[in-house]
Amino acid sequence: MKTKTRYAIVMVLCVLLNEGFYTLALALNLPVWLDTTGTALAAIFLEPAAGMLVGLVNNFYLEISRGDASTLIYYFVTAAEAVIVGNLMRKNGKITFSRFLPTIGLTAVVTSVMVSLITIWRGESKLTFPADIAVCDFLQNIGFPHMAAFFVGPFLVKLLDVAVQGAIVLILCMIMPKKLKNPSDI
Amino acid sequence: MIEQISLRRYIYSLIKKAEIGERASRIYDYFISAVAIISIIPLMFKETNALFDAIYLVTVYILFADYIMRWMTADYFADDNSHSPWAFVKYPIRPLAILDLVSLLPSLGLLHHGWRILRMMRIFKILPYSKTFSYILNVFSKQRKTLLSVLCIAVAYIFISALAMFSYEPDTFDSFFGALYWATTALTTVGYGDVYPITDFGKLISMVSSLFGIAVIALPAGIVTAGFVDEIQADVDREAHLEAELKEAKAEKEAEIKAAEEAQNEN
Repeated sequence: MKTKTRYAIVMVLCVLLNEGFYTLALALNLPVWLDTTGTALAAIFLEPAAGMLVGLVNNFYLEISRGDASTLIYYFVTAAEAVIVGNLMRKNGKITFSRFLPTIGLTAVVTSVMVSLITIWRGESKLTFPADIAVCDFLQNIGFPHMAAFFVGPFLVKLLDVAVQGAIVLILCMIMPKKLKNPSDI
Repeated sequence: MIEQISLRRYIYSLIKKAEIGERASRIYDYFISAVAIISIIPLMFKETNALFDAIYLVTVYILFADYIMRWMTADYFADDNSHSPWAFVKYPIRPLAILDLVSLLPSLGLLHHGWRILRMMRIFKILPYSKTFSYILNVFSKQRKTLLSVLCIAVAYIFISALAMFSYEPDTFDSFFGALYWATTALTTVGYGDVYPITDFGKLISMVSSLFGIAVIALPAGIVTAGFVDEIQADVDREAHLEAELKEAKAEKEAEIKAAEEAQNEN
């Protein structure tokens, strides 16, 4: 299969995966978003730029469906995830599964910090995601100060989100047809 | 053999300023210029409607995507072509990148609604594609020392005129800023007429400062115009030189072919 065709197929699949998993997580009231699963997969499978483009398409869909461009700024979080995952998960051009845990850790830390900073800049002092609110309330009940709970709560949820997405990406990497794989990974 | 492509290189070849024969890149240039112009149309109307909202959403997204793609390929845009990772760090602080981002910030919910005026800066998006803009940019770059000197003289002259008027007619102005406003509008020949001298001596100050001031204010216009004409002439000369070189090379090649054919015939 030609590389251009492989890129196109994988990227379209990844856009659908992002939307599919996000819809599933919402429908099942899961405490995770799973909306960047395809982005991470494209970044690992192809290159970070491919992951960034997949994220861009998903953000456009989100923007159009909400009728609001203000959420576009969160794209930088998706882009950071694509860059980290795409660069860290490959060593000498090959997918290296031993780097899985450090990659998840770094991705969770960076994306959580970015989300918190953007949220503060936009002046949104209230959490909206139910899982974030639940964890934040729990932390406050066990004695965490309000600001600390505001940061740690969403970070823990993001860590879970990245870990679940990482597991899904790992499985998808294994079951992906050989034709769609990078020749160096076969 | 493994076929290698780089998505970033492909994106770069599409979004960079088109050169002769690069059709897709030229179409992209026209497209992004059109989007930049269309995106400011809603600003021309007091009330919004569904069409304007749609234009706003789609154009913001396209301009944002363009910004991201330029950042993504920043190492290709770097002047030294070294593909250094520092190019990605330096990109957001490049003047045109700052303009791009600033024009998008109000739409991204990161600035107060009052800053929506910054959206009009999207018009600067079309400037890199304009030959005239590159002429003007070259003029400002070459004449920056002269222009800065003239600017200093003009500012000093405005300040002195305002000070003279404010000292003699303090009641005409609410503050010294009002006097500065009067001096600027008078010396640039705008003259709104909302503030004016009342006493005869004040009128005399106004007449004298206007007579000399107009020469000071007109100086930069003359420098820029002269530089602009020089730039156009230099460009015309450059093109003529290139054309002559091309003709010469073509003639040499034709002569070589003719000589080769003659040699072949003789053999």
